[in-house]
Amino acid sequence: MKKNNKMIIKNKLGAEKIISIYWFAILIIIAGAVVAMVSLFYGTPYDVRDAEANILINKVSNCLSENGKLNKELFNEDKKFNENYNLKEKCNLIFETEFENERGEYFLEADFYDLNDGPSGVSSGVKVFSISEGNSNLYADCKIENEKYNKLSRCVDREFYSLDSSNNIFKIKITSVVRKTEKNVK
Amino acid sequence: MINNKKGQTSEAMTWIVATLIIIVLLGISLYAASFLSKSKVVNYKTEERSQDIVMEESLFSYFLVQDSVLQKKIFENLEKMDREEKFYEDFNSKFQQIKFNLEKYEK
Repeated sequence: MKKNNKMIIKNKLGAEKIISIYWFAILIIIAGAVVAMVSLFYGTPYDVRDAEANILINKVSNCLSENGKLNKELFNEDKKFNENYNLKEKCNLIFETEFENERGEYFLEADFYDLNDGPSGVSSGVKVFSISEGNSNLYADCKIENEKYNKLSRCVDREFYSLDSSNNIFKIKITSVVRKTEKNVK
Repeated sequence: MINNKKGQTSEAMTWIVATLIIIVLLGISLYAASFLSKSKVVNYKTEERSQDIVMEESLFSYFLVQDSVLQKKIFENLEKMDREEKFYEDFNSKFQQIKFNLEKYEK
């Protein structure tokens, strides 16, 4: 009887040791998983390129047109579009980033369509002028519209109407492209 | 002794099943974390906002146009853009707001 009791006590002690090792292993697994989950979620950056491209469009549209009237600096003295209009300088755009990409991380283009002489009315018009700034190579990414390729540049284009000083109406299409994949996509 | 062995086996089975459940739950959580991390995209269009500068520029030019035919065409086109959800703000309310302000200013 006494021998049996001793066996049970020894057995219990052994089982407790094994269980404590098991608990320790489980604790490590859970802690590791929690660390992995947190690093997975917080290690992935927010993709703000869409917002950035839209903010650039807002800034450029506000610079090219004010309260429905095109900026006078866009035109020469003979009321023709100023070919030397510097979008970057006039709109106070800063394209420099922390990445040493010589070609640039941004591309902006503004196309002007004359709706007064256009054969197809307000919806299309004839392209009469275009200004662009930044890395034009990024524009090629805009033709590939697939969510799978999220490492490509993000493109946003918007259009609005504006009048010149002679009350001629123009449709302005602004295309904004932001690359910055290193900062926004993992 | 046989009873003791059976008891030990069932206890071991309980732990094994418990471990498997914990591992499966952790796996699901890891997958959920990776899935959620992919949705970390700030979508400018879906974010609620009270201003759309680009749309307002079009509305201002609409009210400035003298030619009624051209004005009508612009309005139709703006409505089309609204239907295509190209604006980030409610088009009709902004249109009414600008119209009201301009009428008030004219008076």
